[in-house]
Formats: sequence, structure tokens, C-alpha cells
Amino acid sequence: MLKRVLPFATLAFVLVSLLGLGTAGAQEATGTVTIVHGFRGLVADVYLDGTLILESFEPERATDPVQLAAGDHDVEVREAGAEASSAAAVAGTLTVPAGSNLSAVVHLSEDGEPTMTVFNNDVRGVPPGSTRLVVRNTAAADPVNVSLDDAPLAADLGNPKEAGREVTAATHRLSVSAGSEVLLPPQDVPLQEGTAQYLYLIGSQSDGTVAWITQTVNGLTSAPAGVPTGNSGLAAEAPGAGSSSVLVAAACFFVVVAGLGAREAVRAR
Amino acid sequence: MTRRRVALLVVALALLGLAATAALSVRGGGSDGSADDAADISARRPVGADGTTTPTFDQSETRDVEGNISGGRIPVFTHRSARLEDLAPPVVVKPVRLRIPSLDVEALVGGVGIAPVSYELDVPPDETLVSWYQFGPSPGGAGSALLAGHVDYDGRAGVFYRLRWLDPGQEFEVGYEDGSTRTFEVVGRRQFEKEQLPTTQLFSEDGPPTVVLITCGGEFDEGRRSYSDNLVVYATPVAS
Repeated sequence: MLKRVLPFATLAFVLVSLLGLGTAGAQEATGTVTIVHGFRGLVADVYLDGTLILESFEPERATDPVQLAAGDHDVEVREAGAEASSAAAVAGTLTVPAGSNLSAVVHLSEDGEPTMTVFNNDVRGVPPGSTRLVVRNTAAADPVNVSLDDAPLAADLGNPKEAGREVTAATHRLSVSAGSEVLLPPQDVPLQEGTAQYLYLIGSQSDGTVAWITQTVNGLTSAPAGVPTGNSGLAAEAPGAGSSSVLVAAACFFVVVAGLGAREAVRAR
Repeated sequence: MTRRRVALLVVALALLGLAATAALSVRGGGSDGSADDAADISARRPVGADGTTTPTFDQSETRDVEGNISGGRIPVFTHRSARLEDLAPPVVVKPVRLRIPSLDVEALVGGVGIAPVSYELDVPPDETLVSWYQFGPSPGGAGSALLAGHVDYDGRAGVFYRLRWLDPGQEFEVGYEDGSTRTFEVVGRRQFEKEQLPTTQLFSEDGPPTVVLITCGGEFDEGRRSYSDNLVVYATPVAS
């Protein structure tokens, strides 16, 4: 029996696998990309693979997330109105793996040079009632210490590094220092449940222009594990008629009897 | 009658019994006609349709361009302020009061979150209060707004003790913090084993507006001081 079926089963398996591969190949592989402008003083024209995609893009703004084809993309940032052939203020390669979620951030390096950094966004779901809070140092500043409600969130965080964790969804207070210098006094950050909140430190320590800009990733929510709403048994159903365990037992009983009956019927033939 | 006939009769009777058992289990589940419809209307849709802080990219905006874009397609880039000062949670008008005339229920509603460790709804130890899940929509908003109440607590009947007798067609009224009220009509009632509770659907944040009233029910485990089931009542807004 098995010998007769096996070749057909193998053939079916191969066909189904090929079909699966075919549809996977037909679907265009993409990744999700958000462009964040954290370079003050440059109203920018942004080019993607040589095409102008953002015209007069103001600093301290971010795009909504978009789907880009997986693979390498050239990014060039020029001063608004500059010739497309002129030298770019910032240029870099954006490598988009299929299924990734990335933020491409135009900002200052630790030394104050314009640059672009691509961060990988963790968009896995968060536990119910919480938010994933991530801080990213993209400022022309020494490594920073970031405090969350007076407890350390990130220590000695250099440019362009990130740190974060899942916190209760509520309004928290963030402050930033570098060594003994306070860069930002405590500041309210309202965090929404079921999101990832990315905070970018931008500006320059020497100019006293350090500030946060932010990006929200929605839709990471998960439902509570249960609803405990009784502890006394006043409304308890009597275990017995209609209870599921009795029904399961009854079903088992009838199945066994039917089986035995069928065996007898076959034997008696 | 031959031995074979007797055996076949036994098989037939056993199958009949099995069918009856199955029928009984369906009825025992507490499902009534409209409950499945009610369950479906709050079914979860793809994430990001909430349009609150950062609406997601609409695929329909994708346009083809001539030239050398990798992959041949380039989306339209919309953008928004990224300043921290402009980060504001969406405004929600909170429910503060619940009135169910047919059950003689008149109760205060308070917002609750998540209990640490268990990740369950953080229902306070007060059997007279109704708890609104504050991370979901307010009643009448898109998705499934959830109002939970004790069936009992420490030997006292709770605010939702009689919830199992709230039938489709009956109405209740929610009062909000701004003084407004809204009426909802019950469209279904179901009982779920706690392990089978469709939490993703009951706490959905998008889809048509649904209100879920929920309490405990089923058998009571004396050892664990806990019920086996949750009783769920579904309701939809009455057009005003």
C-alpha cells in the first residue's frame, strides 16, 4: 500500500513546493523605510536612485513609512534647489533587506559633519500595556547619558548608537547629560500603548542646540492575557449536565460502542 | 434478528448518541443566532488603519516612474513634523458611567490597564465598579471597546452578576466624561473557556464600533477561587 502511494505523494509534494516557490518569486520583495531629517539648517532635496523624491524637505520632519524594493538604493541629499548634477551634501547607500523596517536618518556626526545613518527598527509586538522606547544619539555631542524618570536608560551612548527597552505606556520624563553637562533637562514624553517610539537626539552640544525628534511605529499592540472577574462562585454552573467534560466523556463512550459494534458486524458477516 | 443485525443496530444507536452529544455541546457553548455575526464584525483588520499619529502608507499611492529606480517603482513620500513637542496621544473621550435598565444596573466606569506579571486586565477589587480597558477604544470608537465587571467578589454579587440574562435586542447607555451619552444594542452573547477567549478580537483597535461587556462564568474552581469561563456580550451603537 505504502509503496504504491509513495511516488504520488512525492510528486504532489514537489509540485506544491514548486508552486509555492513560483508565487514567492512573483511577489516583489520589499522593506519598510522611513526617512528622518535631523540636520538643522539644511532645507533638503532628497534623491533616491537619482530621482527627486522629497523637495524642500524641512529639518525636524520625518516621512511616513513606505515600501521600497529590496536591494541597494542610492540616497543623495542636496540643498533645496541645487542642480541634480551638483555635489551632494550627504550621500550614502541604503541597503534594504526584504521584510526589514529601516530608518534612514540625515544628521550630524559626533564631529559635526553631515552624514546619514540607517537604523534597523525592532517592530516585534510589545506586551499589552507597554511601549518600546528607543533613544538614538545622532547629535554632534560627546557620548550621552539618558535618564528615564530619574533612572538610567542609556549610559555613555555614542553617535550613532541606540539603546532602549519596553516601558509602561504612559507619559515619562527623559533627560540627557554628557559627562557633568546637562544637555536637556527633564522633558515629558507621552508614550502610546502598542507602539515603538524612536527618539533621535539631534543638534550640536557646542552650539547648545541639542533636542529630540521622534518617530512612531504603530500597530505593535497585543491583547491582555485574560479577564479575571469573579472569585466567589455565586454564579457557578453546576458541574454536570451541559458541562464540557461530561460531554467529552459521553462522546468517547459512544465512539467506543460504535467501534465495538462495527467490529462485531464485520465478524458476524 | 441475526448477530450482525444486532451489531449494526448498536453502531447506529451509538452514532445517534454521538450526534446528540455534539448537538448538546453546541448548545452548551451558549451561542445564539446573532452571536457569530457579532463576533465577526469586530474581526481584526490589518494593522495601521487607525489614522491617529502616523497613518501608514497607502499602497494605492504607489506610482510607476520612468527611469532607473531600483525595482522599477517608487512610492510617494508624505511627511510630518517629528518634533517631540508635536507628539500627542490621540484624544479619547472616556466613559464614566454605565446604565443597563433591563438588569437594574447603574455603575461608575473607571479606566484600567494591565496587571504586572500576569498581563491580565487589571480589574480592581471592587465588585460595584465597571472597568474600561483604557488602551483600547472608548465605546463607540472604531474597534472593540471593552467594559469588564465582576460577577462576584469576596462573597458579594458583582455589578455584572446578571449579565448572563442580558439578551439580544436589549439596550444599555454609556455616559462619557464630557457629559454626553450613547445607547448601544445587544447583538449577541457567548461563553468561552478562559483559555479559548478570542482576546485579539475582543481587544481589536480597528473595525466597526463594537462594545464588549465581559464577566466570569461557567464552573467555579474552589481551589483556585476562579471561574472556568468568560461570559461575553456584544453590542453595537444605536443610530441616534
